[in-house]
Formats: sequence, C-alpha cells, structure tokens
Amino acid sequence: MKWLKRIFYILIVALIGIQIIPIAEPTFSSDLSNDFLAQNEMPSEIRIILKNACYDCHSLQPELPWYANVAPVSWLVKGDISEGLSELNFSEWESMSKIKRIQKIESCSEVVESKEMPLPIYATMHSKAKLTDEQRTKFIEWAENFSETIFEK
Amino acid sequence: MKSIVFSVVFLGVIALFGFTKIDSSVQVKSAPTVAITSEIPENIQTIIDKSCVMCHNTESQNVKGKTKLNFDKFKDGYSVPKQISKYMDIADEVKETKMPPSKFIEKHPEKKLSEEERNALVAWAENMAKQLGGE
Repeated sequence: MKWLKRIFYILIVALIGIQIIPIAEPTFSSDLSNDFLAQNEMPSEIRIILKNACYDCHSLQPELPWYANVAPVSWLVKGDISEGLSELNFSEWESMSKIKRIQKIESCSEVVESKEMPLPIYATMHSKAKLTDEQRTKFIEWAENFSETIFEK
Repeated sequence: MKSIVFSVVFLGVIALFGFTKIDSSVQVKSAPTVAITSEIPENIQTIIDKSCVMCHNTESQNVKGKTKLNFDKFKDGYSVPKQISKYMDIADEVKETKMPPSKFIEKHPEKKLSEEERNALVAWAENMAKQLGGE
C-alpha cells in the first residue's frame, strides 16, 4: 500500500511539472473580416455543422473546453489545431484565391464523405461534432454546390 | 477427422496466398497509361505514367489512392471544379514530397521523381488549375 501511495504522489508531481513545458500555441483572433461563416450565406443546418464540427480546429475562433489547456491533453489538442489550421483556416477564407477556395471546399466534401473528418477522437470527446449520415449527405451536397458557385463567379 | 479438416483449411490458406500474389503481379504489369486531356505535354505524361498512375487509376488495388485521385476520371467523372481541386492537390502533394509516398519509392526506386521532374509536374498542375479556374 505504501508504494501505491508513493506512485500516486509521483504522478501528481509529474502532472503539475509538465504544465510548465512550453508548447507552440496557435494565435487566435476575433477578426471576422475574412471569416467564412461571417462572410457567406448558407442554410442554418450547414452553418451549425461548420461551427460545431469544424471550427474548433479550422478557425481562429475555437471553443475549447477547460481541460484543453491542461497538459498532456493540451499537447494533443494544440497539436491537432495547428495541423488543422495549416490544412484549412476558415478565418482567412476570403483572402484565398478562387482556385484555392475551390480546392478547399472540394476537400471538405471528400473528407466528410470518407469520415476522416471530424477526427474520430475529437467527435468522441465532443458530441456536438458527431455527424449523422444524413448530416454528412447534406453537407456533401451543399459543398459540391458551393464549389460550383465559386467556380461560376 | 480433425486432421482432414486441418489440412483442408491449411491448403485453402496456401491457395489463397498463392492466388493473391499472382493476381497482384498481374495488376502491376497491366497498370494502364491514361491521358487526362489531349493537350497533356509528353514529358508530363511520361512522369505520370512512371510515378503516379500505378495507384491512381480505376483498376488500382490501392483503394485509398484511387479514391483520392483517379486519373481516369478527368475525362468524364470529375466536374470542372473537382478537376481544379485535383490539380491543386497534385501540386501540393508533389511539392511537399508527400507523393509519391516514400514507402512506394522504397519498393520501386526506379519510380522516384528527379528534382526536375517534380518541378515540372508541380508547374503543370498549377497551370492547369489556373487555366480551368480562369485565373
């Protein structure tokens, strides 16, 4: 029993200790001048999907739970966000070229169809991000139409 | 009885492996060469046939590869916006040396892209996307 207690204390100290390890933080911003949701019209069901299932990693306005700031969870979360942002950042949507926007919206449709996105580990932790098959179908349909709209502009 | 069942299963497994092997080697040999459009430059066609088409065609056994990009679908299948996005993806993946995958190159060293081939492929794909997008 004595050693169990000792391990417990070591774990607590380690958990506190790792909090001071610095990690690369994405710089968040509340600027909406190039934001996809702020600058574009779309059905509310699509808006909800984007906000709930995509924006935490693919925009500079994430809604993070408190534990996302606690190591070691923060390492995973901030890592996923940085990777997500480098792939697609909805906060700078309007500043992207036409062909870049087409590429990105087509990719959105593909990764939602293949269920690569939202990341399964993220959807497990956030029920708001779980998409039903019906939501996926609607999203794909909308994305394909949206892509055509950008193309024809 | 037990030993009979065992040997049947054993032979079955061997047969399965044998056939799979034969099958995949046939697939590799018959990887078709495909043209995206009639205007595709010869040097680009050569690069694509050498390093890309083996996985990115309709007959490919690499399901993930052909789902992400299938050169056969440029003629009919991909809408114009879809084509634009595919050309952009090609440019990105090749530029970032994500494609061809390093594991694939380990197995097929002769399919490695030279720096020159890589640049030519990227420039061509970017140009196609811009042309189609009217930029």
